[in-house]
Amino acid sequence: MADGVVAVGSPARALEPRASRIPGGAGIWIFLAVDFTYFTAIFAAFMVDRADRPEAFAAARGTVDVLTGGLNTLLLLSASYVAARALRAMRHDERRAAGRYLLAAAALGVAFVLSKAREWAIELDHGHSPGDGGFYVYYYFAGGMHLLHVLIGLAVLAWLHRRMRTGAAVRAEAAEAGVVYWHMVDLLWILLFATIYLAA
Amino acid sequence: MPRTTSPRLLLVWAALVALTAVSVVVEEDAPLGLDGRAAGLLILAVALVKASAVAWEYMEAGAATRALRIGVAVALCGWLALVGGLFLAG
Amino acid sequence: MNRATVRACLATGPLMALVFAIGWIAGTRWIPVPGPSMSAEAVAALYVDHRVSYLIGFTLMVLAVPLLAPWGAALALISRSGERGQPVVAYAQLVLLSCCVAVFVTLYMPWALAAYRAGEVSAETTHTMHELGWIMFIFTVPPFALWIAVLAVGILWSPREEQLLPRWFAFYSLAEALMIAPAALIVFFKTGPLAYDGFLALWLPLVSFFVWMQVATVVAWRAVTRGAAVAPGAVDRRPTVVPVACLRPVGETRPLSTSAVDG
Repeated sequence: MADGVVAVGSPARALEPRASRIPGGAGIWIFLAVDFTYFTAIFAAFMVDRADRPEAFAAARGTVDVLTGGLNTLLLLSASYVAARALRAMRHDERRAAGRYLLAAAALGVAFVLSKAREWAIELDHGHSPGDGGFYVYYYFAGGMHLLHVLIGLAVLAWLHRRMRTGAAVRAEAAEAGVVYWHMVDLLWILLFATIYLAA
Repeated sequence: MPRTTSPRLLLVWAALVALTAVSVVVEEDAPLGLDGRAAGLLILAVALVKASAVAWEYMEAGAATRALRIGVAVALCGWLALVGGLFLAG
Repeated sequence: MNRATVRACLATGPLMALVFAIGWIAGTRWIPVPGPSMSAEAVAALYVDHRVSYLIGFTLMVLAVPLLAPWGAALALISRSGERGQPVVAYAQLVLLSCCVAVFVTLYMPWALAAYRAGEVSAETTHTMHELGWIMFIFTVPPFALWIAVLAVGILWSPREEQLLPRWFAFYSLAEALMIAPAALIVFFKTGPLAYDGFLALWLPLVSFFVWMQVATVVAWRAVTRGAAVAPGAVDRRPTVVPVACLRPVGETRPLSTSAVDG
């Protein structure tokens, strides 16, 4: 399939944008639209529940670690930046640079996961579990669903990295879809941070 | 093969990091005269900047039609307005 | 692939949704749902007071639900168009579909029993049957989520030229699978959005699933229209039969050919 294939490493070919091509393919944007709608529904439910018990939610929010949340935001922002760099490198057939950037993005993603695990371990240690209801249900559930998205994103980055290493070509669409997914994982976290960590 | 060294990505990242840092500081040192929502609004600004940057990056690369760009921009702004509105109302 | 038959099977999807909705909205009228925070006495009272309409609702729903089977089979067949050789993805879909239908049908048993003997047994018994039904209705979401995910992955992994279903539908389905899967968490919560009467565990998955079904029906219908009379890759295993005269001409003693089968 010559159409839209990034022959990364092959000197002759670069990305050939067709007219009106949807970057990444329509599918990934539809996935993200549905996914965003889902998270918006979660945040809306959070807002509604919070309106019922504002003091309880505010008190619970006071126990979560905003600094760690901020750090996590920085980690994902940086991971996103590096992934964007990786895609640019792929577009210029710079296979090794792309591989390094992808690895860096994945490393930052792993750091996020570890930071999250530590944050939750501390919360559980303080006796705040999902069963405590109200605020904590959303804190753990939204956080958990997002974490699942991060893990999927790590798998995607790993796959792209592997293709860079083995010299295989990657469909331009697939690379773009993978990186835009990673961007959106970051964006979701930012909104989660704003709503759950800062809003109450 | 010539590499484009546009500083745009780096600048966007720096701006986002700065906004995030400010919002966390605002949150932690609450007495700044603003109610707790200021931090949240700053973070929503982060979201808006980031989303715009991603859209810009992708639309450029894909040579997507103008209509698609406008459509995405409108959808994004509308959606962020919704989230922001929920946030302010809540 | 016989287009008329496949289309008929696809049509059972919206029919199922319609009858199910009537059963829920007009029959049981569980909006809102009697949830985990209700006492056993309150729940039992509901069953006693609304016995007949509950039974009608459950009956309508249990009649509707098996219609998922031909619908899902049609979907599996259409998606099979992209698979060469042994259609393992289509098989997986069918197995999961069977599991889903089996669960979906049997879950009405405790509810029906609760209504059947409402007032004649203790409130706790009625309440337990009620909650058993709910656990069966929602906790068993994994086969549904996996079924949708397998369909999606099957579409994505098949060659574009041969797969009749569009790739965007596969991405939509993946998102759908993610949205319904958290329903399995109901056993950890008695209140809040993840309880069995909650927004995130019940309403969002339930409504989004039915929306997905209707989208899938439209998408599959169009695929059937677009597709070839015999889907590429689908091996027609019916042996070609050489027509043999039914009646031997008078006077002939030649035996009728019995092995006019090849393939």
